Amino acid sequence: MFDPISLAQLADETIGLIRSESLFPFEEIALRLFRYQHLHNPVYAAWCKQIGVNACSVCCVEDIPSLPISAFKQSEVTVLPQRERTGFFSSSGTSQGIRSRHFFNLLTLGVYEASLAGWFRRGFLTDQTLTRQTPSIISLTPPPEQAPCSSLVHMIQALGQIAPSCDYCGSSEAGAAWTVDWGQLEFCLKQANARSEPVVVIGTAFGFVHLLDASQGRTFSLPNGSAILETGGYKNQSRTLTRSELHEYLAALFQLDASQIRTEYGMSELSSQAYDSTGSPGQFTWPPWVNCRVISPETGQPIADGMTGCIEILDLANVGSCMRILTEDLGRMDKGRMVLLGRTENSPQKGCSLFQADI
Amino acid sequence: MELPSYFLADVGPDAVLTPDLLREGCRSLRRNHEKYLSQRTTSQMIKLLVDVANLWLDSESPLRQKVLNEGPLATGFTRQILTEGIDAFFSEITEVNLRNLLRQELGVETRMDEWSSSESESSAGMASRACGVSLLGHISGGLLPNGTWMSMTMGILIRSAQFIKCPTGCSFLPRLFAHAVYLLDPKVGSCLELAEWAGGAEKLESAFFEEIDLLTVTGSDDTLSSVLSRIPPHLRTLTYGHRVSVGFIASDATSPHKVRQLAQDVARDVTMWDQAGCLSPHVVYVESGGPVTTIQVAEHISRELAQRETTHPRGAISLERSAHISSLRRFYGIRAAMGGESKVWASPSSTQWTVVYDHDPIFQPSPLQRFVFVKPVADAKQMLIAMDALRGKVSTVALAASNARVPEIASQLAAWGVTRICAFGRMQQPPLRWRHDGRPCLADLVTWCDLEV
Repeated sequence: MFDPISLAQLADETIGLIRSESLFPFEEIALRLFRYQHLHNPVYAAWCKQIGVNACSVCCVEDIPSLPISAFKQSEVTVLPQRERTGFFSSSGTSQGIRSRHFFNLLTLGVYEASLAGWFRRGFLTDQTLTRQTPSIISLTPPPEQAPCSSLVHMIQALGQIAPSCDYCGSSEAGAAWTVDWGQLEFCLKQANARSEPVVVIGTAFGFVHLLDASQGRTFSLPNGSAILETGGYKNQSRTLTRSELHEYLAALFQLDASQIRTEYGMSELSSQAYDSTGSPGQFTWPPWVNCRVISPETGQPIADGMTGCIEILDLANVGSCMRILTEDLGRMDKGRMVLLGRTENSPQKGCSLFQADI
Repeated sequence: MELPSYFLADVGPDAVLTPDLLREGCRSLRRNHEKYLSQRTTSQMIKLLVDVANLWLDSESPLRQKVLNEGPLATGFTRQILTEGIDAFFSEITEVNLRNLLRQELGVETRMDEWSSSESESSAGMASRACGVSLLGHISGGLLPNGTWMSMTMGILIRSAQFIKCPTGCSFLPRLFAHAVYLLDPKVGSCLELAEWAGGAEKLESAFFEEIDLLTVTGSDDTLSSVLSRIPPHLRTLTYGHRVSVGFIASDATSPHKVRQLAQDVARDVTMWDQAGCLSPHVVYVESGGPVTTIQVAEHISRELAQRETTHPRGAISLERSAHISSLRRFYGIRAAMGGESKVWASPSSTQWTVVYDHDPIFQPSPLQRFVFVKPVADAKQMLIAMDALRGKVSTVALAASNARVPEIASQLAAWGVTRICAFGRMQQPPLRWRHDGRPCLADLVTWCDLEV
């Protein structure tokens, strides 16, 4: 079949758009990418057929069907033939131990890196102090060689390339659970303080809880203009705290103002991330190449701002897989920002039947 | 119909229950038991219970009308679901059923009134009588009223005063039961108390445990272990854990002229009490090789669920549950799209009902609220292997099979640990003499005195 556009063209175009700060024809690109993915991603095509969507009937962005995120656990959601794949990012297995896989090649990885770096600069480093001087990165995750399939670790590594330095204070020996080395973190912060350079300490929520649990009253001090970036998610790796509890404890541990503690929302199935805003914890802003909607779980249709439902993300940077994903997170939109409210887990209800957690 | 505030739970969420208040309530129950209950006869209690049931069943009764008018808001079940559930439960409370229950559990109907002997006791020159405890405590487990109604019925029959602890927001239907008793016999009504509190309130519960003579607890494994860790050594405790139920349709039960009725019965089991109870089926296993294919059986069930929705609509559900149902539908939709042996039938533009046909026989817990899996299996043995992780946690298996095969399949199920086998359409309507979790329903609640002289 004649293929009117190649993946390389789409990747180039998307990178160009991400780097441009001007408005761009979102809809035109989204529709082209939809047609490409419908043609080359067999899982997406099968899903569209299953739900009765014909590619010809998709005329605007709103029509583009979303793929349930669970598809990444069940199938290979990719436009890349096997021989063209150079690797994959894997979820950390939030439930049932089944991990999703998001395949990439050099082209699609390039888009991913352009997206994460672009929005880190424009969406995270918006605080005046942070923009004055690009901060160094201190990561509580293991280094890339110990977590080659972690999209978070790859993101940190990519950010490290635009930062003055990037140090890892975590480890995961032979694929075991992630741990954080208190002494290493203390050493890195001491050096940063000596240089008086701002840092961003990035880690998972459970990594920060591990630090809190090991603190025994000790605290850290960060150079002026520094920030904490927690990426959410406990994955049964630590006790669970509410976001406000976690941030309150972290403010005490790192002797920071709570406004310097930020949260990132991302997942291995997506190529872009959202950051919450200083002063508006829990309200996430996506980059302009992402469109976020909230879908009613009852009707499957988009719902108005302010109403709670399932979060659906259209991420143009997901060129190599599927750009519109229906997540299993619950939230609502509030003046263009996404408010995250929880996950669609099989929580017990007031009956006497056994539930997933009991079995 | 306005009801006076006879019970602590009538006062509503503003009432602050303290350990002292709870102790005083228990002592008052004990005094009332001594004054009003200990001298009653079994026949009087049977008559009272039958009258209570009739009050609930009488469509003209203001109490029933109050339940049906206010119940949907108080419980989340629709009027139709409440009506069906109430009728199913209270129609079992008849004089014949109560007397049969006494004979089954105590050997002789008059066992609680006088020295009585069964045939074997008589030949050994013995007599016995059974006696209910003075104050029976219940920690009830959830919104579904059947378990609590059943406990209260048994407690009244054995003439014990009862204190019923309901979870927060779940006392409406048990309270109305107690009000019916009060209306018909205020003295017996004064031997009942109900209160709501969130489970795990240690000070309240330790006062409760000190005051009562026997405790029944219904709840999840976590609830049971939390309660049991705090029970004083002298307090005898009966626990009822959460369970699941399933159905098994044998290949010879699915002839084309029977399958529609069978699917209607399955749909009734799935929809009664919106599938929230431990007697609700999560999965219906269908034995392959019948004249109607297993996938056709699933399709029939979906049609009947759609039909039931028009006559017995589901209540409103939380956003989280709705999201979970839609997420599971999508999961199996993907499996189907990828050529897996799955198929999903679902109510359009809502989560009201879902049937997932899935070839993998391993038991999957349903998110409930009218979501049922249909899974093909080679035979009952394969079903039991597929449910191995649930051994000891299965309450009821609904069984459809020819008369010739019922004994063989039932024996397999019983040997595996199933405690109740019933027909489809009856899963949520166990008989009054049902042995909950395979244990005596009344005999566990009494103490005996044997006379050998």
